[in-house]
Amino acid sequence: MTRTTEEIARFCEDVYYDLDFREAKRSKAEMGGFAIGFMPVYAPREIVHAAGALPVGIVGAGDWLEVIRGDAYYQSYLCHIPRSTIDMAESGRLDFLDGMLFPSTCDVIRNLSGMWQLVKPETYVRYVDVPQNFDDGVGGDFWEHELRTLGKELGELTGTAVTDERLRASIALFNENRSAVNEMYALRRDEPNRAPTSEVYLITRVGFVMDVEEHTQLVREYIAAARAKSPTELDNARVVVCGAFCEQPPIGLLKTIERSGCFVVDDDMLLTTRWFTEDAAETGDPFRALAHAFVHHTVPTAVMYAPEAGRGKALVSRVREARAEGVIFAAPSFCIPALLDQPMLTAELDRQEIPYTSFKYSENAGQFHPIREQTGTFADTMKLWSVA
Amino acid sequence: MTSIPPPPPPGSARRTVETDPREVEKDRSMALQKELIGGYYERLSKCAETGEKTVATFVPGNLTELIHCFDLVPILPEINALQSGMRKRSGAFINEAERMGHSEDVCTYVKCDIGMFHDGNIGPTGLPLPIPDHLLLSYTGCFTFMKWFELLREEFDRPSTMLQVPYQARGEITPEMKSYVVKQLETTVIPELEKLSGVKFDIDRLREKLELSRRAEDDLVAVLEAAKNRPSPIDSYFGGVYYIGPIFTAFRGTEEGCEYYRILREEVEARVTAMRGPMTPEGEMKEERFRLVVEGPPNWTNFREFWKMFYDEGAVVVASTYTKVGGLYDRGFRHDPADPLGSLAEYCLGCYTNLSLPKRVELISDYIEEYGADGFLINSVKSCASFSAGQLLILREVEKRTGRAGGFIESDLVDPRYFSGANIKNRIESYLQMVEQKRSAGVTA
Amino acid sequence: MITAGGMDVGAAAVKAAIVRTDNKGGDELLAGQVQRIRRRDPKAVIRETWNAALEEAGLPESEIEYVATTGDGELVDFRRGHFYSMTTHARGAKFLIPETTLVLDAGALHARAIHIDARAKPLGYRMTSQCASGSGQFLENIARYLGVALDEVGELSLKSRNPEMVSSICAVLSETDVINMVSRGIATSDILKGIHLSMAGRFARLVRALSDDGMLTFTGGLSADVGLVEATREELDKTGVTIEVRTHPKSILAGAIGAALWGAFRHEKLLAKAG
Repeated sequence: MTRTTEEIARFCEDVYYDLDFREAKRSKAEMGGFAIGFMPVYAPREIVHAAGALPVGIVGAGDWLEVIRGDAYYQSYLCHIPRSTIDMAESGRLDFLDGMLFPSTCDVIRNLSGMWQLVKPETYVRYVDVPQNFDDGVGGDFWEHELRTLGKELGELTGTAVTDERLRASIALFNENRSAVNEMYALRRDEPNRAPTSEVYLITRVGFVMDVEEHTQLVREYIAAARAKSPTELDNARVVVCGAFCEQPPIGLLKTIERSGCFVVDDDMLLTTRWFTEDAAETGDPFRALAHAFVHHTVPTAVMYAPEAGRGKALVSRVREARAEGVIFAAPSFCIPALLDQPMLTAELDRQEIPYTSFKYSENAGQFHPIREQTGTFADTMKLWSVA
Repeated sequence: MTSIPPPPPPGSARRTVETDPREVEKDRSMALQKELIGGYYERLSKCAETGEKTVATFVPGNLTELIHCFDLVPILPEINALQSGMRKRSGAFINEAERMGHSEDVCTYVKCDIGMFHDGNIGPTGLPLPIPDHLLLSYTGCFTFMKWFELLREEFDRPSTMLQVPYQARGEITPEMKSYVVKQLETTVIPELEKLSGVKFDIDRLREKLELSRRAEDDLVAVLEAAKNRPSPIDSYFGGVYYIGPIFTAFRGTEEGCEYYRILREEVEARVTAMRGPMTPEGEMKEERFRLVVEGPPNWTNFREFWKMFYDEGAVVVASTYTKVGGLYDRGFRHDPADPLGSLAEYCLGCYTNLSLPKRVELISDYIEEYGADGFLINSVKSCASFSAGQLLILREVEKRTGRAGGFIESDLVDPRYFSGANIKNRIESYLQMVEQKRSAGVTA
Repeated sequence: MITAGGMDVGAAAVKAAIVRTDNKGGDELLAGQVQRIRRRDPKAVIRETWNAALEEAGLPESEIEYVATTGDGELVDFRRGHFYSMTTHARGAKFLIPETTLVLDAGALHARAIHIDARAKPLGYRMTSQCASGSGQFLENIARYLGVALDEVGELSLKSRNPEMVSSICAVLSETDVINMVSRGIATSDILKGIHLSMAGRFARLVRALSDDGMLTFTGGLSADVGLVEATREELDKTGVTIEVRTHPKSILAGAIGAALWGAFRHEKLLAKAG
């Protein structure tokens, strides 16, 4: 039975909207009964997997959970994702998780790791302190030790030791998954009318609550269906979406951007899936391999230190590679990394005369009219008034 | 347990500060502190002439002794920003930065600094500041630091060095965390500073400086802990920010710094003997009605006005977390000449903003007990998520653990738009009423 | 010459236009159709309107080189491109009245004033807020209450001698006002004129924020309401600005015409790009 892209996307959308995490619970049961949550931006899912646990991406509750308890934890000038996350924890929706990993994305997520220790004292919590020093013998060694500690602790938790052999196998599975997702991204870049972002996003997103092998298969199924269809040709503006790496834009916002006449041909959403720009080695010491891949092949993003000036250059090459005509900066309100990063990026775009527009959103935004107006006029500017 | 003084009768005068003519002559330490800071800014302004090279760095996890080992002068953008805030210049700088495209949602220290740079780079004392020759990114306890120096690097094309300090997520410093920091000092920071200065690293020189740091740290701790007395001879928040000034900035590990803390300690100990209360801008606080612990940085644009809201009510801050952002000396840490790089690493790892939330709850609760506080107040600043994210939970947890009343106010570091004096005053007054009620309920119970 | 189609899918009506142009100023409108959606399936209305336009132009669909949408364009599955309504109304107004420097797009849900340059590029704009009292929907509610057909509203309003001003700028409260006016026996034409003046006052504020001279062209669903156009003229005159106010019998098609013309422009650009 072959499914169309729409059918696959519809299935993913159901999973996406399911705040009872039924898909994750099913996968957890199939994997042996353990699940470990992780927040954006990066978590070493290979290690979780090698410990026999399902890594579950917790990226807020979007616009379909009325946050009640969460707001009692946060002042108005902080972003939305920790509110909905702690709300889900407080309401028991995350009770199926045996642990939580909090990456060093920013101080809000960092502090949430401590809040979790207070609010959910029975849960395993680990802060994922990724290296900002990119020497193998310095940052690499530190990170390798962190990974080993995580592996040891998770092994104790699940009773499945993270052996080198198991970890190598997990690395191979995630490499394969990344390669499938990258292929889907490449298809979207080359033929965006076959694979709109509102679908590609959902396909990628369900990988956060699904067993990795199953997800790879799903991505491949989607690619095949997208290649098989005969889509109408659309004369849209090609844009890169930038700044949405942590708190996620609601799917309605992605659709709004597309409806206003844009193809999103590259983005930085759900970055953990595509974190390594080159695979981690599947031979040799697997902890070393993961550390090496992190130190040398991490995708440039606002949360990672850039040792040299010229932060905007990486974005410009992404724009060029994607043959994009402009950039949409879509950052969550109060997102410290994205908003502090932005002036460095726009300065470089100005130098390269690449048009851009920017707006802020929150994951629970329900009104997209102003955004439609902004992206609509932006798309028209590129299509009608650009010199190219 | 120290006894709690009974609440004053209703209708008694609220004003508890009296201007004592003797106090018009300020404390010697105060004058010395002014002299130190003034001299420091003057030295910075002359770097172009003297050829002294400068290194920008941050207060938490600063490596002042190490920087001085290379005859380099530290520049502290946070201090420049807060000083600009106190001198009412930050608002214009922030506006300038926002006009340039910096988001209204981000840290105002950063925007104040960038605005100042674009406005001629005139420092808070009115003297020009040099463009730092190097950006030493001591990445401790604050994500924004990283972006701040990346932004500055784009502005004035100077090299930067990252010193990543792992976070004490589980409230402990592991050997691996320490060795990671030491390794970075050895392989990156020291070679970069040697390259910049042309001075060869001399570990014995560092040891000498760390010995001076240790001495000043002993004195500082004695000063801060003097607040355990009744009345407290110091205000550990509003006064405290002056006391920590030299040691948190360019004077740790220096003779002048050591001298300052020796004198300060003498003065404070004399106040204890004389049973005198803390000094305020309007003279000595005569009646200590409330003893508070404060969490969070102060507001700088309306610092005096903010302080007055406390001393007018007879509220003295006996311990604060903000005065620990540049080191938790009162919990036992000292720079150690016997382990120079190791103790620098531990210092960086141990700063307050690098502590986990449960550790912060523990520390505040301990302060309340140790300093016999009536309650605690959180000043939540918009700019600083490192402090602010989770403070509402801290509030509830500390209340639960200590049974003492917690208060919550909001402001910002240097953005004058986020200081609502009337609101804050109201909150503080009603908070203190609540403390009083709780206290009298405790007395009658 | 390029033949292109434009579909403007609004909240209340679907508009279709077919143009032929050399993209150098030689623009010709071959067909223009409007259908109200009422309670029908918008996709069916879109198809019908489009077919009617093709018939009017006497062209088979295959001869249309580019179909562009504006408004809720995603409902048009035969589209090639899409433009934002501001861009298309500006272009359409410029086509209908070449001297246009200001556009007032007054539609079912909101109104927007646009300041444009000689190429019909929007230079700035002002919009009514979320509130409904500047919109066609509001006017339609009032007309329904007064038992007046929508296309009679304009003429009736022109007959008013003593316009009765509504006291509130809020749509909900204005409706209450009208109920009271009726029971007080105020003439329908005076009530309508009062409503028009209230809306026109808001429009004038939008326009004046952009410019105090030039040629203002009405577009959108309300552009056929001569009473509203006249009221806007009066309100602007009151403020002493030198803005000439015009509408055009085909103003309601401005979005569709603009979409078609921009589509033709894109078509040529894409052909050039493809070499």
